[in-house]
Amino acid sequence: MERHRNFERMALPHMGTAFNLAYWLLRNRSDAEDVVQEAYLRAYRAFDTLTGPDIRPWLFAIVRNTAYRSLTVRKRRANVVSIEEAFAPRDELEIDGQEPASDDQSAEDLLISRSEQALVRSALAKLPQVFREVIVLREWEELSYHGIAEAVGVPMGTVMSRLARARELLGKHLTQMVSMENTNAL
Amino acid sequence: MHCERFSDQLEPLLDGELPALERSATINHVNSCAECAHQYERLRTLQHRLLAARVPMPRSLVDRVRTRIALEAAEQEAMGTPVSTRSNLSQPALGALVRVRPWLRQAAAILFACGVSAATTLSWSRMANERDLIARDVVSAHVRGLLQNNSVQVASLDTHTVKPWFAGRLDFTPVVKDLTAAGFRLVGGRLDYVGGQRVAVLIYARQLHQISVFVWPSGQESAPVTIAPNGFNVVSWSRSGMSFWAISDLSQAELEELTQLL
Repeated sequence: MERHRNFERMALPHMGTAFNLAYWLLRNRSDAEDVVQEAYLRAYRAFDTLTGPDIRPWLFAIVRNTAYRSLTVRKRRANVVSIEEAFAPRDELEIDGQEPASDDQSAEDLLISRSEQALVRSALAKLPQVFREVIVLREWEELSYHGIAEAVGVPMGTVMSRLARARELLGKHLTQMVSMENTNAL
Repeated sequence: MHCERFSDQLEPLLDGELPALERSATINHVNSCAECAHQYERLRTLQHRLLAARVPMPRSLVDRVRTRIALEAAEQEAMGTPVSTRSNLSQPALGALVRVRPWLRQAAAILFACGVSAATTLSWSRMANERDLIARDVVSAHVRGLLQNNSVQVASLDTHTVKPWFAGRLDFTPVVKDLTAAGFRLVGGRLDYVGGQRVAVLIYARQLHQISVFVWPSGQESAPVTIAPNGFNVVSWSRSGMSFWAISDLSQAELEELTQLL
């Protein structure tokens, strides 16, 4: 009982980031939901192995592992894909299409213009997965380098270099996309 | 300018990862170097813009995860106890049997087996007394209600709609009270099956917490008893010919408020 309640108190507040981590690894909403459910159940079963005061690195490591496992399964299942399909950006439509239906849009979200949102999302989508996950954990969960290293299972130096590279690429993608839009407009 | 020395510090500065000493040195440098200031500003803008990419989580996900975990907790609870008691019993007795004559051993084994089965039956029946059975039914009915999105068969805030709905379906009429003023909002009612009989279930809500109140006729009066199976709080009492079982993930104190109100 006590265990059940402790787990809920510690783990539930981080579900938003867990969902984003899963989403940005899988690029699909319903897969991300499945991964979060499975990961939370696994975390609950293994709750006794948690040491240390901060549940986040441990929890996100489980979410991440579950997401990567789901990716492998998906790849194995879908190894017959047309070239067009393979190179088409995944779920681009889904993200944009689902936005109005999203149920917890804050006032802040509404202020961000739809095109800015689409722009930043597609820039992030262009990054390799190992870069996306450090961005999610650092920028939205404000996890320390040390915490990210623990969650991702790499040394802290690697976290720092991945983060630097991810930001560099993001900046580049964003400028490119803006200049492309401008050329189109002309 | 010592840009090479500081350019690698810009991101740790932004991320709040620089020790105090290096921090002030880096800030001083950024303030005096146009190029680093520009780069720092770019990083900050990017950080801010990235917030737009965050994907909102479907709100129902929290409920689904909580239900899965509640079921898991209930399952562990149910499987945990009987297995461990049984294995503890047999160990020392078996060792003693090895040294006696074969026929005696057989007779003893038979007797022992009878003893074990009798003991298990006894302890089982003691464990599974009526209250425990009802508690188990109440927990599973509540969780079932949470699992299905439509936990109510008659949805209404109005006590005058909910009460008559039960009238045609049960051979008793539960008391349906409007507790909005006390912070318990009536959501509706449904029928369920607890302890071998059809019972009325009233669903109340306090903030986001759902409370199921199970009601059926009972001969005795009894004072409120609180238990906490599987992470839920359950309080049960009998008054004016009715048994009440209230279950929720609300705190014990909040749930006990209900015993005064209903």
